[in-house]
Amino acid sequence: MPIRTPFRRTLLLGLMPLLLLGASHARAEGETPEDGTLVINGCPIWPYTRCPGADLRHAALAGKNLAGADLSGADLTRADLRGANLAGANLEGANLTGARLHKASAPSASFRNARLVAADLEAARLMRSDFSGADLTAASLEFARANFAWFVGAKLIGTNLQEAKFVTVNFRDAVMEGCVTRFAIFPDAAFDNCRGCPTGW
Amino acid sequence: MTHLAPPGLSPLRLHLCRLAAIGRTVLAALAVVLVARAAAAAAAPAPPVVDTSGLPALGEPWPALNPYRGNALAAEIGRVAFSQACAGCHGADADGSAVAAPDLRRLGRSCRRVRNAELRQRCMEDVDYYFRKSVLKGKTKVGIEHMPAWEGVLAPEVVWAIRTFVESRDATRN
Repeated sequence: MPIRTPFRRTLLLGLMPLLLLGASHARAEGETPEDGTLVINGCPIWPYTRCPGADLRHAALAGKNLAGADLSGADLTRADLRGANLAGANLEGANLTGARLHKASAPSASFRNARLVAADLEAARLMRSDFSGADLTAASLEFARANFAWFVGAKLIGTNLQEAKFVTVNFRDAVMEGCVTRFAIFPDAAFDNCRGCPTGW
Repeated sequence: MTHLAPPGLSPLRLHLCRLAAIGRTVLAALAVVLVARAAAAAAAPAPPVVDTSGLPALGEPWPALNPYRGNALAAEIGRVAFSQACAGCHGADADGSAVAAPDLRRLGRSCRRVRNAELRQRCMEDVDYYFRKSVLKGKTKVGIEHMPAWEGVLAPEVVWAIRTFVESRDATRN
């Protein structure tokens, strides 16, 4: 359709800059345009990356592949890790306060001594992962699958555990208080020296 | 050996006591040996028999990148070592598509889309480090040993040869 009318021409010229700017998808901070490689505060986002102690606060990592990554001691406060691949990742001592991990896949990951206060792990895959010494105060593990996981000495205060699967889970020395356990299952779980763990399993 | 017989013990009973004591000692010793052998078998895997003399020797510290990358001889030596030490879990010929352990051919694939040369090198270093660490330290997850530790069993030359072989098996490489 030729741009005959002055109105259409003006409209097109006026919109041209906006069209050019918005041509590509919204770019995350630090992204290299040509290949999409994401580097945030010096931490490259790829499998097996080594970023201990990295500052990844508010990082946009939804769906990212961080399998086997070393993020020990990293600050992931309010980071978006929804649907991220954290299989075998090392998050020991990491700060995941308010982080979004719903539908994250983290089998065999280590969250030892991590801070997961108010973290959202709804529907996360947590089989064989290690939450020993972790602080899960006010976190949500709704429908999380945590078969064979360890929560030795973990703090589960005010945690949402609805529909979570804790098959053969180790809760030794854990503290459970004020949690919602509706439809949560604990078959073959170990509750030795746990304070507040459910009974009758 | 002489024992002072307790008063009232006949010579026959003394002999029987001695035999029982010897028997218990033998049993205890046997138990110790069996437990030690079992523990040793679980702790240290058997090293593969392979000749790395054709490859440049590597000393400490371990290089960050696989020094044998693209070396055909290393790939062949790695193939022999892999088939003896790794194939049982990771699949014959590194084909891990239908085995219990992860498919090692996938390692490093994510680095291929990194166009920046410096970043790609860092990516490969991360993968090589992960490979080396997994081999040396093994994999123990929530108290269960899934992969034995090969530290002290495999020389650096063998580890990198295996890495080179696994890379050569990735059919998606151009």
